Amino acid sequence: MAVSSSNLADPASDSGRRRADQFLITCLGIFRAIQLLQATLVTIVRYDQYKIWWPVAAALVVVASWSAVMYTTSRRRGQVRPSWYAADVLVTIGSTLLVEQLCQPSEVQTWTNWAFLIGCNAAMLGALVLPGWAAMAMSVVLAGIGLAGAGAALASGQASMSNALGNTATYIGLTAMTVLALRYLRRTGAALDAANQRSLAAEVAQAAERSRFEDRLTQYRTLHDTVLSTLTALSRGGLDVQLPEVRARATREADYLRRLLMGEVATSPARTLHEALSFVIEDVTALGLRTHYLTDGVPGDLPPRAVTALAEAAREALTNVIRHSHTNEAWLTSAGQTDGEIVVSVADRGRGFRVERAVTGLGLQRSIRDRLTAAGGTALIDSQPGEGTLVELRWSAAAAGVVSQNGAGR
Amino acid sequence: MIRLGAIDDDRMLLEGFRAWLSGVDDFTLVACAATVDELLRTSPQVDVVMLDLRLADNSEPASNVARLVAAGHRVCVVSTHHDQAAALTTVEAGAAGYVTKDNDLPRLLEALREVAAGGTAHSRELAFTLMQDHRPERPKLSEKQRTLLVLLASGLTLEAAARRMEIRPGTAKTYLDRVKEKYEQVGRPARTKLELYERVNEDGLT
Repeated sequence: MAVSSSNLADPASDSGRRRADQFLITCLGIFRAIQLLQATLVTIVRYDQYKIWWPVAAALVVVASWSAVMYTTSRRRGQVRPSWYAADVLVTIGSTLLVEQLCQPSEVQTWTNWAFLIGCNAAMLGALVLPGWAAMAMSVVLAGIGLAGAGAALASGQASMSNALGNTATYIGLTAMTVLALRYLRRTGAALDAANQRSLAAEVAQAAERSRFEDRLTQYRTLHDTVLSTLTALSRGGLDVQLPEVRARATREADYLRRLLMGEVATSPARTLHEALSFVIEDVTALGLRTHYLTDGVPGDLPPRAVTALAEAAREALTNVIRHSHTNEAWLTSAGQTDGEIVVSVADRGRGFRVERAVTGLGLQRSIRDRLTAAGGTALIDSQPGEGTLVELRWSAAAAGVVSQNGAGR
Repeated sequence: MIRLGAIDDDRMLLEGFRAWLSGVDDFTLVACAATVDELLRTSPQVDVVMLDLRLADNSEPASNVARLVAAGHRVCVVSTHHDQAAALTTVEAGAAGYVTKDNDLPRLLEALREVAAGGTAHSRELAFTLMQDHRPERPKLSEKQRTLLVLLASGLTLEAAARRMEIRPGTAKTYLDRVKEKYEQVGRPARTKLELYERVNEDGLT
């Protein structure tokens, strides 16, 4: 099931509730715009039905401008701020009282009294800001104020009570309808969000599983091409284990299995230090070097530049063993310490060299050191003629962090 | 002549080992078994027992070592691949050596010789295991002892490590023996319990 891209286009508005509110604000905004249009027509056409015309017109302008600002802003935000709603209520009450007082009493229950509908709209808007029961209460209050404003007309019999009660019922009824509609819309919106989340999570999990599966498949293929075929040949009696090449092959493949047991050996670009070092070992093994590898306590989430620096420096050190030590055996150790420091060491038991003599001649030493210092670590190269060489690479997040702060522009 | 007892559930490997050992002058394979029970039953006269870390009967490596030590044997543990946690428990239980099978046989024999002589085998794997002991209850090691472990764990020979530390190889060996003693002290309470258990068991059987 594909996740529609439009749902994810704007992460800030991915709340179903927000979309529900926005929809209702739009509807009420349109409703009020229609009412204001009506009010404008009425105010112009029936101008003589008002005791004083210009305050009514002024009130209309105020209500119209205020409504425009409040509705457009609230719609963009996807919510009506309580303070803004309070202002709307005040503007509504003010204009209701004003218009009803300035209406000819006989016109109070006609379209001339355009404040009635504004008040209804304000009551409905309460559903977005107040809890259901409070919105209903507000609608009763606003209806009551409307009734009070028409009090004089009612008392003198020029407005009918049944009409007035009918209008009140409209306020309350429409508000109830809005409250229910909003509840439904919000619930649907939330359900849609939850469904989208689940679908997205499932896709992510599927993708991860697929990549792990592919990694595993490639590992099996490697095992099939190497270990399995060697064992099969052995079982058929087709391999002479006295031959050095055969034993070398068995050694290589046993070492590969050991690395598999020590941690996931990746087939894609290496993420962890163990994976990176495994690649390095495979490469130098192909060149004839037997590497004894031990690892313990190295976190799987080292920064990539630290992983690269340590692995590539180790590669250079191991290549150096092949070139200069006159042996074909090396020891590679990678260990994490409790203080967070990572130590990778490469040792051989070969010819060794005089460290002081080889200062500038061996670009290798400088290369290894530079790799580590660039990543915020250190490298130590120690050797004794006839006693082999030890290369010690150290890196820690703490030390690297300190360097990068004041090492800029080196 | 060093008399060797071997405990390994891999018959084929043991046979191969026996064949290989027949060409070695100072070793003779006296007893072979697949489990600790099997070996102890025959009460063999051996100078060192080579014990595989993981046996087919799913026994705890530490208790295997403890029982052999309680019976008076010197134990050198071998494993197909490195297992940090299990190796630590065997050292605490009294193993004097720990070597992985990716080492060639001469190195394995060197470790067995050391253990048979009553010392601690200075294998790289043992040093690495102790170096990476980060448990809060680990024994406190001196600066020099730690440095020696780190150098040996990197793969240096004992001689190379000693020279780097400007001490004699004999002194370095003493450091290692001291480290092993500290580990044995940590493991003593459990071993004493086990010794008592074994003795009660024996009495019950006879």
